[in-house]
Amino acid sequence: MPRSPPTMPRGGPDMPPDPLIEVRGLRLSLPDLNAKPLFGAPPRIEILKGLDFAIPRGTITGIVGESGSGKSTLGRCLVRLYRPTAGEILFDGQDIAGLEGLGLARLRRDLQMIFQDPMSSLNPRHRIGRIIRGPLQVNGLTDDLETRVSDALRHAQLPTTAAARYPHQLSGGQRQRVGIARAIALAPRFIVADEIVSGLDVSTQAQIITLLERLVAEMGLTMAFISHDLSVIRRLCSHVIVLQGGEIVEQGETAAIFEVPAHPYTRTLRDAIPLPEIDETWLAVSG
Amino acid sequence: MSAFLEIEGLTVRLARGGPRLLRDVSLSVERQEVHGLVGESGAGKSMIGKAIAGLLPRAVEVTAGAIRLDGADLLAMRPAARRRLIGAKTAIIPQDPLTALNPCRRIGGQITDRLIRTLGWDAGRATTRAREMLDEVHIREPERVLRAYPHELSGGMRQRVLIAAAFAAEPELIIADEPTTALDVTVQKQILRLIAEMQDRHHTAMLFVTHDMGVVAKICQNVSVLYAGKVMHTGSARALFSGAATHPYAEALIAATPRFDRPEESLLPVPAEVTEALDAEIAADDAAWGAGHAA
Repeated sequence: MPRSPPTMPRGGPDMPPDPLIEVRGLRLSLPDLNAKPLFGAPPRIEILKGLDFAIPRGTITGIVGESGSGKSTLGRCLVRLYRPTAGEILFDGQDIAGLEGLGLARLRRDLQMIFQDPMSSLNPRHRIGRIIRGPLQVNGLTDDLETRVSDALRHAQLPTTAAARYPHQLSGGQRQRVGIARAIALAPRFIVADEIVSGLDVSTQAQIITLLERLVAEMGLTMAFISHDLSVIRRLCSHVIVLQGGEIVEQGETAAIFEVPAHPYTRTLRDAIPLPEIDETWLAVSG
Repeated sequence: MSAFLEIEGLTVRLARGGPRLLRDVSLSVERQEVHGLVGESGAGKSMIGKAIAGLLPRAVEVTAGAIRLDGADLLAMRPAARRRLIGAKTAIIPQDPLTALNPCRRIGGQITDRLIRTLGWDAGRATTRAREMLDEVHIREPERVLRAYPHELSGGMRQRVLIAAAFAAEPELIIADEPTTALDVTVQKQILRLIAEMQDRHHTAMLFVTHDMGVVAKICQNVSVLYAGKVMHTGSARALFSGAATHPYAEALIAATPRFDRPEESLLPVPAEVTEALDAEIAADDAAWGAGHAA
């Protein structure tokens, strides 16, 4: 297992000395089911090819890349929904990459995830109250249960009456707030948000982004924000990791990286964003 | 001469006295113009496209208005004649290439289908045309792609195939329904460039449905902004994005769009005053309409 300190091509010195999460040599390979032979184990494809990075406390770190770059897989490794094939994930100094059983169960409360599609991540047959109560009960936070639920709803800017509703009775933006409420109800120390504003209208998206900014400031949360949208990342995240084909091509402070991208891939991504302004040359320029 | 596509007072509602989905929509698209149709989800953008193509679901009915294609009122025509006219003069570029393509059929047949069935071409001519079109959309190995199944192609390639299919029969109007929404930004830029190039070469009028103000700015000459099935603003894209001659809701939509270049100035939710004013306008409108349509 590689033991070398994380290499920071950019922004290394800007990283605070005491990050909440430090990842070293993270690899993940999964069986390639498309190429499964008749007998024997299928070949494995490497999704994450040795990642080194750190996530500073109390900040939002963006993970950006195109489809298939491995950003969602990385997010799932960070909250240990996937077990990495190799490497270390130091969570507050403790390596959680290989944890199992009770050790992992104890950790769940601190590592929460908000999913992209609330329709598939909220049980359609459960009322919102029950959806938020579930993780609290599983983690033994049963004192003042109803207060915790209504606090979570309030923090996510949902009316307390929402607890009696079913997911399909809410709007898309409200459903995404339920996902947020479920995650923050546990007062976790780290949240992974996976493309949580991608399916939303711009106005709703703006509301959710503002809410996240407030929650991170008020609750001192640390968050990894996975998105393909560089404009949202630029607004929301102080640090950013750019992934391409399972490798980090660039990382560091958001403003520095996007103002002067060192890697051609980051430049291509930046130049492909259609800004809401008239520019006849935009379609003509290749990229 | 009048515009190629003219929609006048189009009103669509849920059948059996349901609420209105399109409220007195009027807009026109000139020959060779790319006209953007923007709005939030549920505003009725796609519904307008479906109404033109004659693809409205059975659960809705047109209660008033006219859709004139090259001067002919589609809604006043007999169904068979209407289908022939729509088939000959229009085409659609859909949002999701995977659902638009039949997974069990090779690409070639899916491009030639329309040429053979709607335009009565023979198979040889249609196949030659399909190969030419794949060439035009910069697909490197047209022969291989003609024989490929949809799952063998990437998302960007599939969208190129659908653009080729849409332009193959030289339609005079193309309805593009969020054609780049499902794509990565870099692929989106390539596809937008391709659509602009094809539109320019074939002099096609285009109704471009999107929710992305950035995309509108790059590809449309004129824009109609929809809210709750009502056109709130129609005008040139240049005026809209320069802040002149616009509408509070259109401005609010632009302000809500995340801006890469000015992160602090973007992502402002549409102010409650704006939506309240719009909702009041819609309610007053509905009350007036309801009074005239009381059962």
